[in-house]
Amino acid sequence: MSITTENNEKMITLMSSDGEEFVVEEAVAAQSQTIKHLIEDGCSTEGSIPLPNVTGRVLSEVIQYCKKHSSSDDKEEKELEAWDAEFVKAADDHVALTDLMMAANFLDIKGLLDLVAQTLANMITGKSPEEVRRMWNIKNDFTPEEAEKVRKENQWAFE
Amino acid sequence: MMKKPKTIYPGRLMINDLPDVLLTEILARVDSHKCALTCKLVCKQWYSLISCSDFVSRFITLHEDHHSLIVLSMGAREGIHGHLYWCMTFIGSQDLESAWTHSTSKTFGKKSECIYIKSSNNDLLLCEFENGMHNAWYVHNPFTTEWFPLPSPPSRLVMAITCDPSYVRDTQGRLCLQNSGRRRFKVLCIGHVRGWPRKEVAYYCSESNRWSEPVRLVNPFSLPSTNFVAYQGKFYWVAETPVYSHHIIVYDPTGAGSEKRLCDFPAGEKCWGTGSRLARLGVCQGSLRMMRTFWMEELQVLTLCVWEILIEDEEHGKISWRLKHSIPSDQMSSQDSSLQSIPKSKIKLLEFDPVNVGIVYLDLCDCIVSCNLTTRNLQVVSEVPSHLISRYPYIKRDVSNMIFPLAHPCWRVPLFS
Repeated sequence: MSITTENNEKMITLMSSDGEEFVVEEAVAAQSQTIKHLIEDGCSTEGSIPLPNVTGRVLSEVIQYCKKHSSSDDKEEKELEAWDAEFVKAADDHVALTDLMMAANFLDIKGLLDLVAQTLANMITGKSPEEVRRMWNIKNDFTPEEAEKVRKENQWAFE
Repeated sequence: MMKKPKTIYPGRLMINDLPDVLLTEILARVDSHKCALTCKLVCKQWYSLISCSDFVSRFITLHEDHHSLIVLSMGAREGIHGHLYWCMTFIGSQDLESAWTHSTSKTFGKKSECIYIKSSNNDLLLCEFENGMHNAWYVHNPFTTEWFPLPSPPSRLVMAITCDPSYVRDTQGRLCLQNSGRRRFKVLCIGHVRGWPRKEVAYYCSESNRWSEPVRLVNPFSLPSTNFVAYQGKFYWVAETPVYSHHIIVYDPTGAGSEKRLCDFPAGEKCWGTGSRLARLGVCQGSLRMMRTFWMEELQVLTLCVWEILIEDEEHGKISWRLKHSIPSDQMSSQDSSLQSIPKSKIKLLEFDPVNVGIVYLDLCDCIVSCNLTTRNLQVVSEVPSHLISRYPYIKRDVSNMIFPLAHPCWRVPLFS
């Protein structure tokens, strides 16, 4: 189904895995290379585009990001960077960043993928292995002997 | 606003549930090599991802900004009681300078002898430790502060090193680490045999940890008149015959044979005097290059030329030359006020940048300057340290033997691993 708004902007509908529908401008949706190719291949003419890998909660965050990035031009780079930082901080409260990263990867939105990956990396930087494990509930599967071996391997870098 | 606990989202992915390629993407973005090594201790999955060469490539791509070049010079500085102390100037990194001083003191104690750099390749240095009559040779990694002692070489007139992994740019200009799985190196030495002017050549290989049997140079006039370069595991240099003709010489340390003479210099470029400053070999973006300066009679101007050398058929010594840049010195410019009054015709060749294809280093009246081959802009990198000049007055004439290019790796590869 294609609707056009008063300023002649083509609208398309995205459907999340849990059946939530989002009506967005085509230019916004086309921030995603995956959706862009679907549109080019004519998959959007009948009904909405189903996105079986993305939940409504995550999709609404993704759309927020795409809206901002389709309306900004390169001149506002500094402002956009600040917006990105705020966005990802807020998104962290609503969805798991890992889910957002999976969605960005599936939808092929490079900017969002980079942003989330860097945010997660920054959370690791400066933390001890124990702190990292606690943060993400990772099980330490090294035996004490194995851990000692890895420590020895790394020793040269920490002297 | 009330912050909800995150566990309420059903089906929420844990970080280790991400596909390997995405987890790699995250881990490769941590801020330093050290931090990445720390992450190896988190769990076995992270350990194996970070140990993988895909991870290293991605890390290097993402941290390329930090992959700067350092040109360094060395010499000895007079200490308080007239003793000589080791001194190395890492141009562009004071951290490395103090790390170097620390690691040399730790390894050798505070002795009055000198350490000289003989050769460099990628991130490694070949050093000679002068200790009275008994000199010792080391392969040194300044980034991991390791010293690897070499067995005594059979001869020691000139020496050069080549190592894996090597930092290269691929055809798309992306930086990558070649042969990243292996840390190995080879050292070449050329020296006298009784009965002038024959010389012999031998090589050391880290995998066998010994020197090969010395082999006589086939051609009596194969001694280098330029620097050595290591390219695709082989050593190249320029040799000069008594009638002032020049050849590129190649020596393959993996083959059992001796050195090979490749074809002459580009037509019309044969007669250009002597001395290491007149030509310089280098490796850029996976290709062998040569630069030289020469006087263009018709324009009355000194010109810097850079060629790419294509090895077409090594067996028959066939190579071809492709002129990449030809820059008259009067077209070089500089924003540096200290350079503006100096005539650019005084340039002398130093080195190719080991990482950046568009940059070569020149000596301009005791300043080490970088020359951007595209914009023809000169920029002061460093002055030749004054303690070097006062200690070794001859340096003033030939600083090129004291400058060694070094790739500063954002991903450090230890000698012992």
